[in-house]
Amino acid sequence: MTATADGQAPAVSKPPRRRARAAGRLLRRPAFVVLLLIVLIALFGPFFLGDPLELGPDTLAAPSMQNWFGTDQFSMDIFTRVVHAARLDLLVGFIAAALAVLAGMPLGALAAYRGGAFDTLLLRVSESLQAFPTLLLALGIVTALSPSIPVLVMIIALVNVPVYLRLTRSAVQPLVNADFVLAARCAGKGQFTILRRHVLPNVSEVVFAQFSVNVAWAIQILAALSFVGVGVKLPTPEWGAMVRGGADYMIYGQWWVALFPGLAILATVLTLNQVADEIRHGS
Amino acid sequence: MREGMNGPVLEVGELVKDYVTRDAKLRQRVARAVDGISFAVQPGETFAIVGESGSGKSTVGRVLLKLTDATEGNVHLLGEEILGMPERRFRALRRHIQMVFQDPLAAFDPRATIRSSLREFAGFGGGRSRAEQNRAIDQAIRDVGLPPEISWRRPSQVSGGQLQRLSIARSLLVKPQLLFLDEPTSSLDVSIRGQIVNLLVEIQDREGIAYLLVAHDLRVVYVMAHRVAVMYLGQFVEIGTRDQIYERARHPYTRGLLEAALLDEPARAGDPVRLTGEISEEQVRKPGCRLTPRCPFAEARCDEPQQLRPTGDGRLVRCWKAVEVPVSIGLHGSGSSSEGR
Repeated sequence: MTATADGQAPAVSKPPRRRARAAGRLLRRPAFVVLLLIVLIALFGPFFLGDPLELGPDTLAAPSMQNWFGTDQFSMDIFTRVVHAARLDLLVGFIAAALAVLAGMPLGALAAYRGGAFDTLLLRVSESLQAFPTLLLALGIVTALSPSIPVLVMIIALVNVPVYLRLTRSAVQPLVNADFVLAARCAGKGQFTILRRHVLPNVSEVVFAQFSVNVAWAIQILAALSFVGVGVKLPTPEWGAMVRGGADYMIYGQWWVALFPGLAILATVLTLNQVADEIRHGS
Repeated sequence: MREGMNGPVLEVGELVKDYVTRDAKLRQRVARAVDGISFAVQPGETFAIVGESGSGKSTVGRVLLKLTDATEGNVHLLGEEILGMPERRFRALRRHIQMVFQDPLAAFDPRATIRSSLREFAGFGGGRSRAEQNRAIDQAIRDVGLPPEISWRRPSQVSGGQLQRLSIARSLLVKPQLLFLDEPTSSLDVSIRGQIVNLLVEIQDREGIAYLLVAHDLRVVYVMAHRVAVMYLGQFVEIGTRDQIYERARHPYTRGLLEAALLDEPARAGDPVRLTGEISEEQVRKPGCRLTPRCPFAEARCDEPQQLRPTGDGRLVRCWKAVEVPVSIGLHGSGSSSEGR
């Protein structure tokens, strides 16, 4: 209770060392390593490459030693742009999913813990949000507001909140009357202490797995919004917008303009989903 | 402040607990798990409640710890009425009444070390320094016969018997006056049960704690209890000292239960009683004796409401026949009453 930092207490027993092993275990999971690689490329890749908006000599040049992924209709290097775009897409995906967790997880836990009218109200609201197809809902809100990056993040987060709310709620529900929670009540602990110390740590695994899936999902929504033209606009490097820009050239045989950003989306989304699987089945 | 009081630790009056559920058509269904129970637990004694699964015995304890709300009745803990008390005020009183769970593995947070689970109790109400908490935890673990180092493990890394010892150590950290033991041995291996029972008896002799024991293992109850209440479908059907219950049971249900337990001693008075069928909640809605479909002595008068009636030797029995015409149910006279344990 009291926060006296009394580390040298004359306790007979001392805790054994651990921790280093946890990091080692993570690195043995293949998808996690790939994800780490993607993140590192997004973080440091742009430092080694030029300006993504720099124009080259040729438009729509096929992949070559100079332009690994070719150039687009504006003569910009597609490889440079795909790497730069990773920053924006991952950041938007991550922040949107994080905001959704921050809002959805406590609300879901509280709904399960409190029950009653509060629970019912939250459930109905999230159901009505989920009744709309996610993309349509996002599309509607974006067109109503002006599409800027912060607005996009907020909207993607909002459509993901019900997912966490329901997930956390169903994970917490069986714990509300678990014996170890009752034991904590016997120790005189209050609701919030119990929620923070005993309930949430025990659902974190499920929620983190969902988080990984959700980052992937957020990236897809962003790409889709950009693809239909209400998200990020060219020439800003963003995967969805680049696929959109390149789609027109597909039929003329210039496949590389749309293919490479598309592959980037595919690789990232698959990796994130695989990481979710590893979280769920590992440990 | 309450050290010198001589009244009962716990006094329960006409306790009722209903579980309200809704069926598929959203009609309300009320299941009465506890139906008008009264008893008192004296300082330092073990009061046991026995009965089959579904008799409502575990519910009683959970209501007393305010882990679930009561429907009616009153409960006095050390003289203070607690049922109507708001949770915040009761929190300080929790130190007087603690609980040991049936399944020790479920009773510890799987993610926390055992030590941190114990620390929550060692730090009850604040005011203890971390060093004092550590000393208290180490001592509590030694008191249940384990090395303090074990507390750095997680619940899954400790055997069931050890974990139940740790669970007992944990609940004792707040120095309660009453410990509710909810089937403390039934999830353990048979070879471990005896050790836990001995440990609990030892602790009681040393600390003078009162136990409220809920169990269906009649051997455990015999070793631990001073007084025994037999519960059937939410009601007590017989309350008496341990020897009254085990040697000269009056109620047909008590006798059937003892018969089914295949205890070889002590020798019991009366003819053997065989209960047929199974516990059925249908009976709760009928006014008469709830045992009638299973009782070999049932007759028309059993369908009238039955009260707990004294038999003259200090016990209470909820069976008119056992009180008025014991001979007709195979009981030939009864010896003098004797003390429990």
